[in-house]
Amino acid sequence: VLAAAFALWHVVAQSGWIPRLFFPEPAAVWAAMSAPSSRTRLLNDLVLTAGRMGAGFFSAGLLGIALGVWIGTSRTATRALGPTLEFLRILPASAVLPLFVMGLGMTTTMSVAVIAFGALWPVLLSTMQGVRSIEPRLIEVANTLELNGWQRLRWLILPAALPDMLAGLRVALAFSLILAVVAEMLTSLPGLGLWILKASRSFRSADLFAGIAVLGLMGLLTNTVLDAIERWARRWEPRSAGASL
Amino acid sequence: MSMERLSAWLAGAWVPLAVLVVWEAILVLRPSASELMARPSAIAQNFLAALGSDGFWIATMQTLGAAGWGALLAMVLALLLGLMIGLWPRFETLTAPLVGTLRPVPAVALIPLGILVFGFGAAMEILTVAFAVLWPALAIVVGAIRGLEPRLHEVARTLELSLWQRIRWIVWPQLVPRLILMLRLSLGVALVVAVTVEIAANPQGLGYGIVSAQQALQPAQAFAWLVWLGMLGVGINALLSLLERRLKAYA
Repeated sequence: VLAAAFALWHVVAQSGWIPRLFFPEPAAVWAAMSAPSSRTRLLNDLVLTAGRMGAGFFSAGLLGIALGVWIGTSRTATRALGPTLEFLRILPASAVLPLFVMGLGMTTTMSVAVIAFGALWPVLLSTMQGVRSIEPRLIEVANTLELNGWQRLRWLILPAALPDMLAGLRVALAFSLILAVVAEMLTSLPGLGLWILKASRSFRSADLFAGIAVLGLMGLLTNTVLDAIERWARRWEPRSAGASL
Repeated sequence: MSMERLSAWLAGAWVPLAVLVVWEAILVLRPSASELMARPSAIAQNFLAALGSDGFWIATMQTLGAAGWGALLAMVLALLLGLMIGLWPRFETLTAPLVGTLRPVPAVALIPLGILVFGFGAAMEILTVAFAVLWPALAIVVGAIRGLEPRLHEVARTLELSLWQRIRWIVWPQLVPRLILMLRLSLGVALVVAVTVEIAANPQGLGYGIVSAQQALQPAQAFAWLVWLGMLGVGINALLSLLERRLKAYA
């Protein structure tokens, strides 16, 4: 089917119904991806974008889980910080980008900080949610067994909150990629975001499609890795039959 | 307001209030930082001034309009595609690889393509929003149809219902409660994407307002518009919760 779609794409592009300027043939896109010179540059940009994305995502993940467990286990902290966090979550993370640029300049640090900021909220809030919805009887069991704080964290809190944490991490991952690309577009940091923007400005549609394809592959790959981690982390749970798209 | 709610509100309010006071104090003591940061009082002043300016309301309407039209387009498309995917297995096998290929593409990657084809303006923004909203909306529709009791399909076959009757009498009642969820999710995503498109490239709307305030070294204005965006998000969310409760009361 995918082959048929590519064939259709080729025919449509050849026929010129849609101006070539916007709509290159698959072969041209492939050439733009695989020609030695552009391949090196594309890979280079990919590494830059993925590096910032990864750095931001991991800091957000660690910080979000740590803060989420802390706030989620403390009733006072939940009451004091909950409403503020809800408000901060609603702010589109890309909208704080200009403020970060003002503070940190057009630098990689800025980009990583924005990614970490944007990816933090989904992890933090879903971890809080997971920690707070722990079955009360399990807490009683932990009390009876006189678990200390560390044992409690390792054997009760983290496993119980895991499904929610993973859901939050999945959202955070998507945010990270988006913010990495937007930061590059706004501040001209080298990377895939700047690659596609430059290609579009100079009407190099084959390069543009090549960049979009690489970004799509990045999204696919990171999601697949997260799926694998999720399966591994939840391997003791019974398989659920629920199908999703 | 009951005492309990009042105390909960106070517990939630003292942290942001304390932050604002400290923030203000630091900038009063060290005015040299004021090129990069704005005092909360200056932000509030700027916000009140903005409420009286035309440009502010035009930007707001541009952002909300692009988000709204984009979300609407995506939801209609999701409904049509979702019904076809859910009710017609062959269509699903046909489209699955395409959906799998397109879905992981981050919507922001399409911004430059949109500029190339449509130029700057509303069309490009609406389509980018629609692309981003389509996938979660589609997942909800397909999920609702998959969640149908399989016996209902058997019943439909026994009764020899036509496709239209199946949609009307079996699928639709299942779908309606999910529609409000879809609306809520879609509008949330749409607002974020619309602002993102404006930040990244499109010179209109609230996102662009924030960028141009930053470029003009007007932090107070950038913060004020950001606060407004947050308020819009909270407002839309509250409105939809209200709608959800109303609809649940009827059901």
